[in-house]
Parts: sequence; C-alpha cells; structure tokens
Amino acid sequence: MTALAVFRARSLLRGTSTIAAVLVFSVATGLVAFLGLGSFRQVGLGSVGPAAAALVNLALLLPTAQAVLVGAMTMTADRESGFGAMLRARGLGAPALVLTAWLAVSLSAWLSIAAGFGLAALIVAGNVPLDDLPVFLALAGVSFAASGAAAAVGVLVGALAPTRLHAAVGGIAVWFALAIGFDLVVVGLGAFLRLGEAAVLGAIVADPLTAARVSALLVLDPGAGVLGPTGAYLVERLGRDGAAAALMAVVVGWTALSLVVATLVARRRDG
Amino acid sequence: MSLSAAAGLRTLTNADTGVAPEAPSIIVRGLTKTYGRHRVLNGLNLTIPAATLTAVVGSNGSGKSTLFGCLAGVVRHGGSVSLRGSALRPAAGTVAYLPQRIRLPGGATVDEVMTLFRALAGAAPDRTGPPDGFLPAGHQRIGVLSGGQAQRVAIAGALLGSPELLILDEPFANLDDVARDSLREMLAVHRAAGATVLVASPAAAFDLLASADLVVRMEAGDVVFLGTASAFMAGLPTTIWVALDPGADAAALSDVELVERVRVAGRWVSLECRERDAATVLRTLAERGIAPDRLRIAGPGDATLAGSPPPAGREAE
Repeated sequence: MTALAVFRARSLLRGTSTIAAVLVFSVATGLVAFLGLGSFRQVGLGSVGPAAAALVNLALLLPTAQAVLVGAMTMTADRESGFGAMLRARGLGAPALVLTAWLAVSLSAWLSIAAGFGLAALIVAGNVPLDDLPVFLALAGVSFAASGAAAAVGVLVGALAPTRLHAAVGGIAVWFALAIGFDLVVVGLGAFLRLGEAAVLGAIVADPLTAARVSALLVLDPGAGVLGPTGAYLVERLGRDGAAAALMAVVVGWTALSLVVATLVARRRDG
Repeated sequence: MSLSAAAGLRTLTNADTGVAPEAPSIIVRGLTKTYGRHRVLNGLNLTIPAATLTAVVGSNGSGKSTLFGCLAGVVRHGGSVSLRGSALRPAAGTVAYLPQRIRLPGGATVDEVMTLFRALAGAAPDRTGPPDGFLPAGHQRIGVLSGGQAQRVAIAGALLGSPELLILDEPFANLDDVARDSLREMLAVHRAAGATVLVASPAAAFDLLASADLVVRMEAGDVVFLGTASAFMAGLPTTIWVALDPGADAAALSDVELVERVRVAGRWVSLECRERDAATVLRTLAERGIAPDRLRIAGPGDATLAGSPPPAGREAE
C-alpha cells in the first residue's frame, strides 16, 4: 500500500491539474494579500477584516474544488483505465485503492494551500504583528482539514460514478452544493421558516465546508460576534474551544464516513 | 437461448477433448456473469492444467475479457474459480493480470511503474525481465509514450515476480514484431517455471496459437472448443483456390468431398474446407488432373478468405 501511495502522490503532484491549481490559488491569495495590505495593517489577522475574510473564502473554495474534482476523476480513471483492476489482481483491496487515492488527492490540495498561504505570508509578513502567526497557522490548518474532507467526498463521488464524465459533473455539482448551495439554502430557509439557532447549527453540521468556514471565523473572531445569534449560541453552549473541536469533528467525521462508504462501494464494483 | 445452444454447441470440458486433467491449475465450475439483464457468461466449466499456455480466442463480445476479469478476481461472478485447489483470491505475487485497453497513469514515469509493480509482486524474485530495448527510457512519462510503448510498460510490469497464474487480455495489441517475439519468450519462461498462462486474442492469431498448448474458443459466453492447439488449428477453415481453364465449368468442382463451400470469383474457384481436410482435398484435385500450378492455398489469416482477391497465398506442394 505504501508503494501505491508513493506512486499516486508522485504522479498526481507533478500532474498538470495540480500545477495549475497551485498556480491559480497562489496568484489569487497573493492578490488578496497584496490588495488587502491596508486591512491587514489596520486589524491584523486577529479579527474579521475584508482581507482575512477573502483569504478564508479563497482557501475554502479553490483547494476544495480541486480536491473534489481530482478525487472523483482519480477513482473513475482507475476503473476505466484498467489500472485499478491490475492493482486489485495483485492483492490490493478496495481500502488500499480508496485510501491511497484520498491521500494523493489531499496532498495535491494541501500543496496548493501551502503555496498560497506561503505566498500570502511573505506578502503580509511586515504588516501584521507576530502575535497573529498562530491565527494564520490555524487558518491554514482549517483549510487543510476542509480540503481533506473535500478529497474524501470527491473519492466517494468517483467510486459511485460510472464514467469520468459522470464523475466530473457529479464532482462539480457536489462541490457547488457543499461550498455555496447549502449556505444559500440554509440562509434562505432560515429566514423564511424562522429557524432557531439550534436548527441552523444542525444544518452547519450537515456540511463539512460550512463547518470549516464557521471554524475559520471562530479562529478570526473568538467571540463569534460575526456569526450573529447562531455564533453566540454556539459559543455559549460549547465554549470557544469546544465549538472549534465540535466543528473539526464534523469535518473529520465527513472525511472518515466518505472514505468508508467509498470503500464499501468500490468493493462491490467490478474492475 | 444462447448462441451456442442455438447452434447445437454445448459447453465443453476436458473430458470431451482429451486434455490431460492431471495437475490442474485452474478449475472453473458454473461460472456465470450478468450485466443487468445481459448474461455474458453462461455457466462455464473449465479445467486448465498447470505449466501450460492457453490461448483464449473468440470474436468481440464472446466473453473473453469478462472471463479473464473473473479469473483475476476483479469481476464479481457466480460459480467458483479455484487455483491449485483453493478458491482463487487476488494476493501479492499470485496472479498477474493485464486488462484489455490498459492505460497507466500518464503522469508516472516508466521507472515508477516498474517500481510499483515490483513492490506488488511480492518477495519472490522475477522469473524473467524484459529484454534490452523492450522498455522505453526509465525517466520517460507514460503520457508521452506511443500506444505500443505504453503497452510494453504495462506488460513488463504485469509479468514481474513469479506469479502462479498469468492472465493477459490481448497483450499483443499495439506491439510490433520484435516486441511480440519478446513477449512470447517471456511467457515461455513463466510457463516453463510451472505457471499457468492465459492469453486472449480476438481472432485466430497464428503466432499465439503456434506457442499455445491449449486453445479455448468462446462464443456468446460459452466455451465451444477446448483442446490442443493442433486440434484447434486443424479445425480452422482453409480456402483452396483453383484457376479454371478457359471455358471450364466451375460446377465440375462442386462435388469434391470434404469441401464445405464452393464460390466462383472470376477465373478462380474457391473451395472452402477445414485445415485437417486440406491434404485430402488437394489429393482429390490432383486425381482430377488439376496441376499444382493452378492452385493457391489461403489460411484463415489471409484476406482471400473474404472471397475477394484470389491468389496471393502460398502454392500447393
């Protein structure tokens, strides 16, 4: 399994999809950091300024899109190309195929995040206090976790999809639903149905990327004032650390559950 | 009703064909596979001895690839498959499988593919390796290789280690003559070491049949022939072309014994018979005063079988 993990990681990390994603995310974060220098100078990373919010959104949108799409394509490519069948005949089971695919895809997304955050760090280095470094690292950590969850969801989509075309379309649809669509539905329905804080929190738990976004906002704003009544309710019920742990548990839970289901699906499929 | 049943054929076993059952390597019993409502394998029974090379031939859609997927343990199926007495399960070093239309990851290099499959081959040493010149340069990415070069890499990776069972689905596709020779030599080494080798081919590939011990012919999900390669080749169709004298009547050749079909193409008459009957037919023609220089023989691999252009085949001796 280690040999396959190394093989997958090498071939994926030097692939054009990873290189393109790294470049796009680095340029985007670099621009945000450069254009937001004024904001960073004024409020640093210890609160929710426009630049920090943009950085969080970028980190939770681009690498997760990369992870879902590449994850979905990797699994179906294995099946369509016969490569997966060759590996299975050599004794590698579905868990090994799924886990190694997830790891390689996660690594490629993490490379994007590392490059993007690294460039942003270089640009803002002289403009934010050193005390904000833990916040910066925590944001990167949340992004890593969110991308890991997105990669797992992508691998699940790929395990379910019959062809690469289905995987690509399904991956885009799922990413859109998790990254944007779910928020819109919750916000819209929340206002319309007058959902309480508990119901909105329940909805957050149902979406790993929303959970990651709330987690990132908690990093920037420990009082959770930016999240309104829902944030206040969350911090009041669980405390700041408890809320952060619960939200990360949601992200990790989504990752684990997606991988388990993907393994079960892959085990039952031919090829 | 399956095609073979409609044609009056039945699934053959070794008892029908005289293939020696001793030291069986693979035993297949009641193998079935269905995709939706489409049944692809109709309860196959098969026993393949160890240390043999078996050519599995049949037209497109006859079930060869599905059979190979079942044997490799990557296609779910009904019935049972056992290898040397135990239920066949994929395990490191036991089964080597080359699927049809294999596409290795384009971002990987040749060396990385070989390293991966070396690791997956288990602790056993390699029985044989690709000869010099078989593989492209190790640093080259799979994505920049031609179809034939990529196929060579996949073959070389699949053949690493000392597998007991080798299952190669149309491995000769895309290969040039030199690579085909090299592949045959590598397969011969595995077979000589006791491995069971199964190779699929869409048609009667004579270079494959020449090195095969056994032939399995499939039609519509059934095994319709299982026997020695020589017995299989003897049953292949052969066409004997006879140049007519000006004014001669082709009908005069319509009653030659063992000829299954007579067709006329210009001044040539084609007499279609089985390979094993060709000598008898030629003898009959000689007895009727037809000189050897008026004859041409075309095997099943020749375009003349299609009935169009006569004689580019070898002369009768």
